[in-house]
Order: sequence, then structure tokens, then C-alpha cells
Amino acid sequence: MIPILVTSGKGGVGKSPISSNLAIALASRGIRVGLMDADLMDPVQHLIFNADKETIREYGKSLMPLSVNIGGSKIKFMGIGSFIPRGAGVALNYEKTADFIVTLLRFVRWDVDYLIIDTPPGSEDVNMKLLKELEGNARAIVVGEPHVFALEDNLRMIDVLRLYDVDIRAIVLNKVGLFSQEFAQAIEEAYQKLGLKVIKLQWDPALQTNFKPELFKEVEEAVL
Amino acid sequence: MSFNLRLKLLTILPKLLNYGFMQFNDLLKEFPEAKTRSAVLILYDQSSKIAFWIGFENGKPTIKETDPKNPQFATNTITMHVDTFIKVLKNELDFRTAYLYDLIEITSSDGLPPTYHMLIWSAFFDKLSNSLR
Repeated sequence: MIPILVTSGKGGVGKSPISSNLAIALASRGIRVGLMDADLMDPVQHLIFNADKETIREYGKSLMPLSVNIGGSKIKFMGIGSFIPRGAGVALNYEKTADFIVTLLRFVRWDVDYLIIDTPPGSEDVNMKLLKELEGNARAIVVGEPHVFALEDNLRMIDVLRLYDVDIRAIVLNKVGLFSQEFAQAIEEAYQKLGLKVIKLQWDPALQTNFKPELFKEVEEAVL
Repeated sequence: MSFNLRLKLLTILPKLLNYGFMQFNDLLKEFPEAKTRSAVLILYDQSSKIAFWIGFENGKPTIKETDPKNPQFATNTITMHVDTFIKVLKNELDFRTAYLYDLIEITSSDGLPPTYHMLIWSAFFDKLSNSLR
């Protein structure tokens, strides 16, 4: 199983819809795909996949992932959002955060070729625990936006990912066209100077609520 | 055990025990591994503790009182204030939410993460609280 982190130094850049669309795109190729929502504090994948209020199941000493079928593409899914009441605040200390991550990563019967991990932003507890657990065996796409704040946050994130030997396959510059174009070229060049492939996704508000896996061919190719 | 704690528990214990014996088979369909597990449930208030051992003995589901200071071995231990326990049973507080808020502590003795046990326990408490409605 190859883990693929969909990560970013900044929140709100579109990691979750990119994760789900990438999962669907890979599954439509016949690849066995899992999606783990590692955003414990603000999970949304269960809403994207309509996998709310699920009952946990067990097989052997493993938890069974939920099975999601989107247009014939089957994806295995697991995230905290499916099992906690809607609106309940998540106030996890580090110990419980780390334990949740270990449970989702190691004690779920994923049985997939690729596990896409939708992460929270930045180098907070969840991501540090994930990076330690993955021991440099992960690939990543880093999601950004074409503005300087996102660049600043992502430069730090890229540094952390490289520190943990994560194979960064591409920067996905999301929401292109939404922001001022003044620094767009400079931002793209800043990523390229780090030796990173830049994939641009045009701003598309429908992407927040609709699946458009056909837009992710380039991202697919980058992670495979 | 203080009079206060015993009094609170007396209101729910008979139903709890009945549930445990009558509906364990349904839970086993969802969690067949439960036969290999056991748990100690520790409830406390300001001045005292009470503990129950839950598991299988001689192939039969068993719930019995055990010494909270030296409980019978179990694969996991769950500890909560008796008020939290009653709120969960009354469906006034979701078990998972209580865990996330540090109102419930779970320790593991079998190598599985406490979160894993919490998720299994949450299914148990969902059924328990629903059956007591």
C-alpha cells in the first residue's frame, strides 16, 4: 500500500475536494483506493462521500473501512467524522490524536494499492504523527493557491516533508484565476526553483460540491 | 462504595445486566472478536469506585462486579464518572463525544489502540442506551 498525502501548509486551499476527486480518478482506472480523513479537528470527507452516522464494523482485529461507490468507482473510506455526532466539538489532546492516527493507519483493514490521506494544514500534531508513522514511505502532493500567504506556508510545509523524506510529486496550485495575477508567475517560479512540478487547477466553485475527476488526469499521473 | 454511588447505580444496573445477557448475541454478530476480549468498567464518584468485569466465562457472556483496586484481568479498562455513565445511558451524552472531551478514559492491555476499543465500546453503548429508552 502506497500512502499519498494530500497536504498543505495553509488551510482552506481545497485539500479535501482534491483528495476525493483524486481517489475517484484513481479508482476509475481499476486501482484499489482508500481515503483516510486525517483531519481530526475539522473532518469533511464524510460529508463529501455522504458517509455520515455509520456503524463501526470489525473483522479479525481490524476495523472495516466504509465502502463508498461514486459513479461505479469504489473507494474505501475511514474518518472520524463518520462516527461522531454532527456538531460535536473535537477536543483531542496529543495522546488521543496520535492514537486516532495509529488506529486509522494501522488498525483498519485497508487492503488497497493506494491510500490517499487528506491531512489537516501545517505541521501540527496530526501531521507530525503521520510523518513519523509513515517513516519516509509516502508520496505527497502539496496543495497551494496562487498568492503569497499560501506560498509562505507551503515553503515551510515542503521543508518539513523533505525533512521526513516524503516524495513530493507535485504542487497543485488550486483556484487559479480567483486571486490577483500580480504574483502568479513569481509564485510558480518559486516552487519550480525547489525542483517541484506545478499543476494548475482553474478556480471552479462547483468543485466544492461536485465530483470532477476528469480534471485530475495530471495529478493522477504525478502520484502514480 | 458510597451510599450515593450505589444509589445512582441501582437505578440502572438491573437493566444493564438484563441487556448484557439478552442482547450480547446481537453484538457478537457485529463484533465476533468480542469473544476473545474482556473489559473492566470502572465507575467513580467523589469518594468511591465500583468496577465490573465484562467478558466471556465458560463460553457465556458475563458481567460481574470486581475489585476496582485489583480488578480481574481484562483486555481493556474504561473509567468514567458515574454521572457520565448515566448521561450516556440516558442518551444525554454521546459516548464518543464524552471520550473526545476526556470524560472517559480507556486503557488497553492487548496491543490494540485505546481508540480502537473506544469505537467498539461506542457501538455497545449505542445499543445499550437505545435498549433502555
